[in-house]
Parts: sequence; C-alpha cells; structure tokens
Amino acid sequence: MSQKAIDAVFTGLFNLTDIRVTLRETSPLHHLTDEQKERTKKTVENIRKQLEILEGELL
Amino acid sequence: MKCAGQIETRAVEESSINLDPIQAAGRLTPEAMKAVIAWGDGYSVCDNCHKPFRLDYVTKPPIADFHTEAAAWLGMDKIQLVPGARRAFQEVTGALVGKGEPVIMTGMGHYTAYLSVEVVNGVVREIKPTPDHHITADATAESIENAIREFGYAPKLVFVDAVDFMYGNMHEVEKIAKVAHQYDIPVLYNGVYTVGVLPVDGKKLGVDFVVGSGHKSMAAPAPSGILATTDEYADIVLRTTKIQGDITGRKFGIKQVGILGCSLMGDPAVGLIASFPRVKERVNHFDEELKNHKIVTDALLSIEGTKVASEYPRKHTLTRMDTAESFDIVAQTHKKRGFFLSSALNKRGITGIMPGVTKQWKFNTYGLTTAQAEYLADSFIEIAEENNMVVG
Repeated sequence: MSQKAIDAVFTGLFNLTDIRVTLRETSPLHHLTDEQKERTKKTVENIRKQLEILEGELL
Repeated sequence: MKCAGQIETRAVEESSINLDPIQAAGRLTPEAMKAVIAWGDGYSVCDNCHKPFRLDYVTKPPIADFHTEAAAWLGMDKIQLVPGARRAFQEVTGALVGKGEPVIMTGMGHYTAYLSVEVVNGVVREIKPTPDHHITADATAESIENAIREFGYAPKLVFVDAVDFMYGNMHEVEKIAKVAHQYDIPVLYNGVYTVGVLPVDGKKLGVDFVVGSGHKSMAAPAPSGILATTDEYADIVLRTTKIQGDITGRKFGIKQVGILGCSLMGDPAVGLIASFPRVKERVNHFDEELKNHKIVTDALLSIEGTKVASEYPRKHTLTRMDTAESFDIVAQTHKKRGFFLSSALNKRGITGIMPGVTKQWKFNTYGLTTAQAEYLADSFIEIAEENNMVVG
C-alpha cells in the first residue's frame, strides 16, 4: 500500500475543490481579485506537488 | 462534458449565478464538497458502527456528536437525521395521526406536508391565509375551532411554515404555537427555509417539532434533513422497536421504528455534518444576505411597473416578484415572447428563474457575494433598458 499516493490523491482532489469553490464565488465572469489569484496560484502549485508524488509512488 | 456514460457534468454553480429558489441555500460548503469525495461509497458511515448498532451512536465520523450539537443549536432536546424534511413530516404524522383524524395545515404548505397526512389516512383542514399571504394565530384558532366542531375533538397536529415557499413570507409561529397549545395540540415548525439560514430556537418559539432540510437550507447533499423534538415527544415519535419474529424470536435492538432504523447514510449524512460548523456560523450573518438581496430588489423596483409580491421590506432572500406591468408587457410583443427574460439572463450567465414566466416569478439570492448581487442588479437594469422599459 502506498499511503503517500492515497494522501496525494485526496490532497489533490481537495485542492481542486478549492479552485472549484473560487469558480463558484466568481461566476459567471470569473474575474478573480488579487487575493483570489494569489490563493489559486498556491493551490495550483500544491496540486503539481501531489502529481509529482503520484508519479514517484506509482509509475 | 460528460462525467460518466451519458451523464453530463453539472457545472451550473461554476458557470452561472443560480437564482433557483429551492437550490440557493443547499449549495455545498467547501467542507461538504470535500467530504462527499471521500464518503460516497454506499455504507461508508458503517465502517465504525459498533454496538448498539445505530446511526446516532457512530463516533467516526462524528455522527453522535452532531446529534447532540444540532439539538442544542435548535433549542430542542433530541434530533434525528432524516432523508429530507418530508420524511420528518411522515414520521411525525405516523406517530401522532390516525385514520380519519384531522391535522391543521397552513394553506401555504409544501405538498409533501399534505401527503404526510394522506399516507396515514388523516384529514387536512387548512388555515386560510390573509389577503397579503400571511398565516395568523387568529386564523389558526378559527381553523382549530372549526375542526373541533366537525370532528368532536381537537386536531392531532398543527403544521406551521416559518417561511413559506410561495412568497417567502415569515409567519407568526410563536403566537400560532401558543394558540395550538391552548388546545393541547402539538406544533410542527416547518423550517425548510430557515434552519441553516437564520437563527432558529425551538424552545423560544414553543414548538414541539423543528424540521429542517439539509439539501434546501443546510448546504448538504440530497436527500437529507433533521427532525428535532422535545423529550416529551421523543419517546413517542422516535420510539424504538419492540417487535419480535414469531418463529425465529428475532428482535432488533434499539432501532427506531418511525424511520425504519438507520435513517441517513453516506454522502447525505457526512455532507450535512461537514457543513454544520459553517452553517452554524452563517445563520448569524443573515442580515448580510438581506443586504445583498436588497441590492437586487432595489434594482428591480427601479424598473417602472415592477412590484414585490412578497411582504416588503423583505425578511427573507426568497422573493416573489410581480412583473405583470413591466417584463410581461415586453413579452407580449417580443419575438421570444415570455422566454425573452430567461434568455437575456442566460446570456449573462444567470439561471434559475423559470423560463417563459414574466408575470410572477420567484428568485433566491442566498449565498451570493456582494459582487454577484451587484452584477445581477446591473443585468436586470440592462435587460430593461435594452427593451425600452423606463428605469429610474
């Protein structure tokens, strides 16, 4: 069992959910404030990290 | 984009401002969205179900704690998770109402309240709404008196909607409860548009049952809801099984009869619980929701001929507009007829208002940000101006 891979999948999904919430909060134009942009940038970076973990653990 | 087979991915909330009156306060919190990812498997909440094998005793996830906290939050003694408010209605009528026995209903109630009486072969007697669409304690007393004359005994239950679905009007529950109790009739507070949206204290209201809808007003997946009651009625309505198989002798522990055992599992249960901390907090900020709502109603009222059909000033974010003298006049000659309004809104990324309707229509702004409310207000004005309506 790869606990790291499992954690990375859920962390990634939860991070994507945070971006989904931002889409909802800013619909329909999706004009993000500076704060929302900054938060989204950090979230995207974190999703990339989870993908790297998955590549390392499973491939 | 399909999410599976022929099933479309639902992205209404991501792509649009959704004004559907029944959907607004049921949108999931971020916490619930994450919880449903993890708990979607069928009997997921049963991973750690131990003796006495009942849902409200499960501590992982914290279902047991939720029962205690939610009861206190509503000023009641006991709660039960239910698969939607309608099942709570049914559980109460199943315990209190017999064949041919009368139940008092507001006349502005949800159809499932009526059906919950029908399913036990009870009889509905309505309270007549006032011309301005309110239910009063005086009218309740009149209906009770009429029922006593007709049946020879007091009705078994009074249903009262805190906020009705037709107009989003607020009704005098506390006074109605006092009247009903003078006749020893228990009162069911239908809080499907209040529990999870604004503060509700069942004890202060003096009601015997508080019913909330998870998917309508508590940011939870469907079907979900809460039935809250007092110690007095818990023993009757939430009673435990006593049945025994005549051949096998089988018994069923402390399962609750009225809801046929464990009532709510998987995503509906965990989503409701995951949203609960944020829901508890958000009810304290309903004034901000009303401010955002006012931005939109003010814009609509600036369009000549437009009226609010609900009580005004607004006390709830679900409102019925009367645009028979404004948008409906445009519809009479517009090439899209009555569909011009929903079409113009859709073009601006706004959905949830019934397509084709321009005389009277309902909308709910609950949960919108101020920026979204302003965009919405501007959009209505733009549509009016595009159609040569007088705005000012």
